Amino acid sequence: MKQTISGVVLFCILLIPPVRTYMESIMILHMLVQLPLLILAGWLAGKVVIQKFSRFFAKYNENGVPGITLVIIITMYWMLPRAMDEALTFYHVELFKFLGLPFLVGIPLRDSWHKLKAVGKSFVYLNYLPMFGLMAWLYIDTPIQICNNYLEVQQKVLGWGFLIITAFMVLYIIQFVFTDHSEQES
Amino acid sequence: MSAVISEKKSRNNLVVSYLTVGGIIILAMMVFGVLMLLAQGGSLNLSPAAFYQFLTIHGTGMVGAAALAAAGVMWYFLSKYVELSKKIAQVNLALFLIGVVMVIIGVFSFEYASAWTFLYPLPAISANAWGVTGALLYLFGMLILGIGFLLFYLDTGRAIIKKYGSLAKGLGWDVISGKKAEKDAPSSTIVASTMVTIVNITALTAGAIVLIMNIINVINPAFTFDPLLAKNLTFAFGHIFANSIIYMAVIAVYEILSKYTNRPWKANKPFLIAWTMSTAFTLVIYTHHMLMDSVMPKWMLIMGQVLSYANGLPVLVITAYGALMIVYKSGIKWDMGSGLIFLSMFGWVVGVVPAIVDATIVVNHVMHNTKWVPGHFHMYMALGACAMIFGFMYYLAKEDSNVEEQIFDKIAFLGYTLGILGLSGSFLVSGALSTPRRWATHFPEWMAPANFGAAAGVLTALSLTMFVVHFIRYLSNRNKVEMSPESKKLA
Amino acid sequence: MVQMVASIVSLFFMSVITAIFVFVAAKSQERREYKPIKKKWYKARTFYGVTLVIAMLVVTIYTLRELPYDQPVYGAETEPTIVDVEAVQFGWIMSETEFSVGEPIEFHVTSSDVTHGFGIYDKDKNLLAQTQAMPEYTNEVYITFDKPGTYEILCLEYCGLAHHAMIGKIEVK
Repeated sequence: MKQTISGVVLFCILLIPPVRTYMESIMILHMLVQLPLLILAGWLAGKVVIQKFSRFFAKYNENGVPGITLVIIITMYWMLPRAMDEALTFYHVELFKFLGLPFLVGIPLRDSWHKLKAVGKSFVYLNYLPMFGLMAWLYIDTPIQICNNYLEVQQKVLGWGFLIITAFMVLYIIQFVFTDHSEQES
Repeated sequence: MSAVISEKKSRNNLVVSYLTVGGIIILAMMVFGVLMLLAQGGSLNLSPAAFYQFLTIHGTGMVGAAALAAAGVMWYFLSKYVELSKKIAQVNLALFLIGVVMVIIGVFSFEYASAWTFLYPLPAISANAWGVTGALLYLFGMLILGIGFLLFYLDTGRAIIKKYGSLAKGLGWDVISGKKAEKDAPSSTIVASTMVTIVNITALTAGAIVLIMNIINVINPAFTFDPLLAKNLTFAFGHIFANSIIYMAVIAVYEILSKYTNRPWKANKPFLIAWTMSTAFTLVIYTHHMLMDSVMPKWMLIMGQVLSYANGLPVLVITAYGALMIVYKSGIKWDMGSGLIFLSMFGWVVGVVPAIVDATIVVNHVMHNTKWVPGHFHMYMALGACAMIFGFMYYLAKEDSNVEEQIFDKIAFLGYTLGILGLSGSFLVSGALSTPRRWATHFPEWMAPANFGAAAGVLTALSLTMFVVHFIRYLSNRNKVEMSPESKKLA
Repeated sequence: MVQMVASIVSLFFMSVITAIFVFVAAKSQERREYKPIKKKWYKARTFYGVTLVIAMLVVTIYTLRELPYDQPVYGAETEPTIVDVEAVQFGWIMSETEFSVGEPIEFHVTSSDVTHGFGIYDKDKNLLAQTQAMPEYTNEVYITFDKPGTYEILCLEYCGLAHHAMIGKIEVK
């Protein structure tokens, strides 16, 4: 219950106009803070939803694959530079962001993640790794201003943000596979 | 008992499918190779468009098919030690076939011809030779193929971690550091599989980045990327992935030779250190493809030379030496399986020589992108990696059926050996004569070796046909055995 | 010249390797116990391994002394001729194509579309020097021709359907 409340609170905070405007005014905050926080809000609130509609989730998201596919498609959409631009220009895109990310990403992510097998999880992880790396490259390297609403400098900052995330993801995976996970010993 | 047998049958079925698909594609690609050499030799009139389409399909197909067949070999032996998912191996095969179909349509129906290196920004800038559709079919086809292999290696990695605790233990680092006794070291199959899992997941990740990057650039050329970084990623992907083929196939050498000679081939400390070296070097030596980019940081290029030399050490001092030692005065019974496997070690070592020579920067200055390079990798891949795969085919046929080897097989063995030696030799001679690689036509003074190579290629293809015939005989024999009432009861 | 040395070295080592494999294959039919063989040849391996590493080190140091990336040291009076080369699908745009024997030349090579390879061939079709022609980057080749004649520039990186027809000419007097 606690989690659900904190999820709802987080969602409301993100909705407060000054918070929203401030986050969207800086590209890196928009993409790498606001969007993930929206997903997090959905994840937190999702506990209750998943319990309540457990039959629905068991039926349509039996092995977690449909849910995670939805997650991947929507998050990929939000990595497009155009999507962020349009969120600022068209209210229905903004609406889709605030509804889509918590409900269509956060909740299914929570439901799918624990249902996925190890290979599925690592596959998803290794899909995001090159995608983030590519985004880093794109935003750092592109000589033109991709978004109407953000300057080229902001683009570069976002690119470095992606690069740092990618680097941490690589480090995480390296430490994961090279540290011991055997069950029989100690 | 019956469950065990049927389980073994169905596992073998999967490996057999991998090998059949791989073997047939390799044979078909040989035909394209011969046609290209004939065109270069002036004996066949081939339009440049057709030539470069053949070039693209030949490179892509050979690497892909050999990788698939080698993955089958790895899967066969690795599944004896750890629990692998059959489903994922099937998905890999299915995605491979889908990818191959897309690549074929892209190349032949939409005239896409960027060579298998698809060096950015060539897919998008083709001087109107091909359009967006062809490029996208090819690039997405490769991506799908890559996804299949990624799943495959994620599964092998998962299985190794589950059984041994971590990839570090799969490489035997606890034995190297002395925490564990040498006798408890992971088997050579595990070590090799761990190495391949590490390098290929890295390669496929780099490949995914560079493929999607090219896709973005093809769809919207306004998005441009750094061509030097693109080149680094392309070769990181291509070199590692192609290189991994021999490291997967060599598992067959370890397993089969020790069985034939009745001598153990255990992983000891030098063996483990050698494989750790191979893991590290394979990941970083791709820079020897970029020695002619003087804008690269100089230290990286010097490392490219130094580490390429060093990368010869594990095979020269450990693996090939071990193979020679295990065969020496062993009273081994030579048949097609053991013969091809022994030949493959020869092919590997002899094929490494021109590579090391060419990795020398001053040599590379006048030999890079000449036919010297295909001279190296035809020997290394066809006489090395593919001989391992075909040797494994004969071994499997013997294990799994009662089909017998005939005199034709022995003739084919000789034909294959001489064919590849002739083919690679002709490439090396061309390279020494400064003939550029990837040229649709040659000047008259460069034609003779190309024609000789084509003849050698025909001999190779005919010999390989004999190998494939044997494999098909095994398949039909095996099916008959399956259909007999006795085995029905078992299943 | 370099090609010759490279070929002979390769041929030598490939012959040695062939001889070793043939020898082992010939000796394979005898049957001896493995333990003593292992003991003996492990010892030999240490020696062989160390020799190989030392040999590689020597060759490495020897071949890394002078690299084609290093700009040559010019005399006080000599100024190198700088030639701007731009590769396009499918031809070479060079700021200068006539040179004289003994003149130090620097080719500054770039490309305006895809990656090409800039290879300088003499009239006997021997490759003298090369570098990659990359978009957005400029690679340099340093060369001094010591024989007069017509030299050709061939493309050494696959760049599209007329890749093999991408030939430029330079004259050295």
